[in-house]
Amino acid sequence: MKEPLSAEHVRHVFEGEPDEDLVEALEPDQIVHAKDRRLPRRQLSGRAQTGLWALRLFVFTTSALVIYTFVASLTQPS
Amino acid sequence: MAAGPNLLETDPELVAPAEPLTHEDIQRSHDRMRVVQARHGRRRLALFWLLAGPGVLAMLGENDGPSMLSYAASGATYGIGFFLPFIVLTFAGAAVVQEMAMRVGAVTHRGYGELVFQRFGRFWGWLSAGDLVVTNLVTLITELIAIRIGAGFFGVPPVIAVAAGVGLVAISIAGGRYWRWERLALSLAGLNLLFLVAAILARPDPAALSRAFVTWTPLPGGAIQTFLLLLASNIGATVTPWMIFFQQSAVVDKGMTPHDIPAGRLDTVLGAVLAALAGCGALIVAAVLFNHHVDPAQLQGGTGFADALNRFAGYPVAALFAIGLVEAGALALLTISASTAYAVGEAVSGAHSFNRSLREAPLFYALNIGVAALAAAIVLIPGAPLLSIALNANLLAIVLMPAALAFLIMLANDREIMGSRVNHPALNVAAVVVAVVVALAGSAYAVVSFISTITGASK
Repeated sequence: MKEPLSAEHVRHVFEGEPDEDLVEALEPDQIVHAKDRRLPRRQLSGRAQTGLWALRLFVFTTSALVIYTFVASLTQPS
Repeated sequence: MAAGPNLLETDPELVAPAEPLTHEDIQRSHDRMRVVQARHGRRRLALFWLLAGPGVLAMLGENDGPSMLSYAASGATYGIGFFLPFIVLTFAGAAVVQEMAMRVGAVTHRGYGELVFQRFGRFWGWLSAGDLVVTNLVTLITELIAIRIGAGFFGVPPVIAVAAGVGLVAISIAGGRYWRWERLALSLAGLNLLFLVAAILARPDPAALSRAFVTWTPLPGGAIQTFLLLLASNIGATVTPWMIFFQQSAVVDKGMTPHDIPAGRLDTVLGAVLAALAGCGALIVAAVLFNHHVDPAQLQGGTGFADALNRFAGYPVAALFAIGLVEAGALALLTISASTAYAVGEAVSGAHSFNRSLREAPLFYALNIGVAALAAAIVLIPGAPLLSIALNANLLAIVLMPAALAFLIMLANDREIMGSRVNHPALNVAAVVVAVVVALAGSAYAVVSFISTITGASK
């Protein structure tokens, strides 16, 4: 059974936009409701997981350096 | 590369929704119909005109106020030499990164932040969005400083210059249509080439230009710390996290599909070429100051560069440089505000599209204008440490950049979502080289800045 059209869609059809053309101009997975569906979490290999932990370490270390440097620079007279 | 199915094309849960079309779908379908008609009519120029935008805007948007000042500082410090071909090389690296963002967006129809959340989890999703928001706010402050500096050359008061910048963001988001926002931003982006016009008017020595591009000489002399700082600044001026977030989200909002990938590539390369031309233009203009032995340290803040150019290269060159700075700051205001709104919208799963009305996407539009208004308020605080903020803006992006590049490479190689449109092995080599160079340059910059701070040395 055909789904009911939204008010917005009906307005465009009424204004002369062919219903099928509107739908066909978009890919099925491009429509908002399709995009809203979440993709599954990626299964990572052991190597990739190790890499991500190394990345976490990098992020925490650089965050500490960068935040200290940035805050210190704001308190220095320019 | 042959096309092949991916998870989005084969999983019945993810395709062929039964729900009716939304306002966003209908707006986008109008744009897509024009693309389909141009493609069927084999009107190639019209097709490219319809599909160009995200790549050019990401590249020229990154030629923002601080970036142009960074290129100018390189020219004023070392003259025409090593940094000229280096700018071209960094944009080649940026094109490699941005092509991946464009392709992932066109195939998955999802923004970068959205995919990081869904494929790698909430920790990385929130870290990416959080750091991007903070970095973008600080960068927007520097854009408004650039607008102030450029407008200040013509005697425009800071309050009016800053208010005009925020007003431009407000005008750009009115209308509820991605196409309209993109075309307004593109018309502004064209003015970035004023730096190239200024460079031509500055009459550089053609022999010096040829020598620089062919031999990468003269090599920079003087303090190694200054050289490393400018090297990192130039890299940071070309490859940044907001560009990845922005271009992928813009590609999705524009409605590009896998059929549009060739045009998307052309759009990205065109953006890189135009941005490299403008960046080289800024360096060549400022090299006039090197030839007159002007101390680059005296050019930071205020209308330093434009005033000095007025003295040594003439008013037209100085005025073009000042207008260019205003344009660079203004375009980046639009693109960086948009990237913030896209990233937060994707993080909280709220509506995040210029094809939505204000009523349908209040958070998206509030963030777009709100982040620019907040940056403006900070810029106008009397006695705010603006110079320190401007000089350290790139520091914050360093935290996110290696992770952003790593996830982009992983997404572009993810067969479950990309099918056969994953990275070509040669592109993977180039992408990993760019990621390693950017990570190393960023880390070196962070460590040198930290050591300079704790030892009290001047950067």
